[in-house]
Amino acid sequence: MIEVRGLRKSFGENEILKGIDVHVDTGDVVVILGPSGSGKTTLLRCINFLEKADDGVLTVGDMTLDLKSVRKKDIAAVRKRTGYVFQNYNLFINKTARENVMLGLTVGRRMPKDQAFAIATAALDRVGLSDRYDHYPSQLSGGQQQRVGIARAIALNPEVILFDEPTSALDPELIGEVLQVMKDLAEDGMTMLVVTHEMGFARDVASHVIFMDDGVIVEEGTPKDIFNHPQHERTRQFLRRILKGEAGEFGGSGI
Amino acid sequence: MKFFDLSYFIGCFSKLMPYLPLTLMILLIAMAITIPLSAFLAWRNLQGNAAERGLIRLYIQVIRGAPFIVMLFVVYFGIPKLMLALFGIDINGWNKASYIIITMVLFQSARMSEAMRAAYLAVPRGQMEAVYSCGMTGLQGFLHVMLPQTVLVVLPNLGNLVLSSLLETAVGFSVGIIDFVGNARMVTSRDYGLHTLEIYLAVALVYWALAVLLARLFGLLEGALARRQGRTLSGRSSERKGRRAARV
Repeated sequence: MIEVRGLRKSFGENEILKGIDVHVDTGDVVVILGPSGSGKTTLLRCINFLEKADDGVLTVGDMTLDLKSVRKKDIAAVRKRTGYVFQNYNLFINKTARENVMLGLTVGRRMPKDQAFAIATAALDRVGLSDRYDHYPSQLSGGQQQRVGIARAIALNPEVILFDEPTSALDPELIGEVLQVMKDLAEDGMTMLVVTHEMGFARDVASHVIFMDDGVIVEEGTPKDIFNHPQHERTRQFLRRILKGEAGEFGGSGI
Repeated sequence: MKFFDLSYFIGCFSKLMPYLPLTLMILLIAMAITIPLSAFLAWRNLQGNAAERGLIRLYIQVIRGAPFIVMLFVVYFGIPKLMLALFGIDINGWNKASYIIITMVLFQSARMSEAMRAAYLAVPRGQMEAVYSCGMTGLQGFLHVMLPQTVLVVLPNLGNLVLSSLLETAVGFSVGIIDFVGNARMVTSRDYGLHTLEIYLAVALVYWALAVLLARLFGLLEGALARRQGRTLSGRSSERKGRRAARV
């Protein structure tokens, strides 16, 4: 459904992604784990062209693009087929929750207002925000804002949603509500590529887990493979550190 | 001789009022040119190529370093000569108000374009990323997301600049424009300087009243825009206001 081959990206002298291959099938929930600075977020941003990759091939459905030379038209087409959820929500500050969800439909896709209104309302209902349609982002908690962000992504009916550390900016007590929405989406068969530090989510929801470090994929497999039988020392170290932190700080957050 | 002649002072206002349209016209025409020009300069300064940016920055630097009255003289004496030398057009018959309008456009567009640029940059970068990820184009994002937020940020500074433009029209007398100040000078010399304080105090009061009116106008505009974007002016979010109310 979505596939990346040989993705490379440098910022100046600093090579962030050193040839990444990722494959996501329809209905898959692929979770990318890894320490800060390992290139996880850059990978996601390159797939949605928020950063321009230096090299690589991207396949989305029946489209195959050489990332060295993409045309504007292709970028628009890929973005049309992918949703994106940001770490810091990036809701449109000057729009209500419902307007946030509608804008991509009415303006981006020139859909009639009443039709977009109905879709946006349904999307907000789906993320449990039936009582927040007309609230502005500043009137919502972080967890509610992120759920609007997810509603905004699903309203555009994407083939895959990219989640860039969707809970990293949230207070611990708000993480659960966002993870629950994501879990529901996964159960409904949504294809998802998720960068996160939430080990509980990776273990329980992912169909496939990728461990990245220093711009390369160190190891990948089922959650069971990665969590119970990690093959590489770096993976083991990372898991030890994170799981210890979770047990110590939050008693194991997540679901 | 009385220190202050109250009835003369009150009489001054009826002498000054006929000059109100001239001042307002100068301000209005100057701002009608300055605001779109500043927006254009800010746009090219943000998104233009290196040559455009360099040129605009040089322009801003040069203009910002010159006193208004000096610029007015340069324009007043320079432009007619320039027009004559370059195009052979004699513009000595031009209305003198046009010189102060030209000066004001030059003077304020440098400042205003900087205020607009700063306001645009104050809108978080992620807003445009969200625009793109929602399948909208840069132009659509600008119109629906960036512009409304930028306008709200720039309004207080814009109000200040328009207000200072109003006050700068007072310099027009120095090139012979008969406005409030020009008239006051004529009146005082006719009265052998007997009532100088009264007439200038009246002029000050007229400017002050106009300034208050203008500030109020901008305040209302800002409030209306903020409400449309779900914000209040004290602090950023209406949520914060709610909390404050709850505490009281």
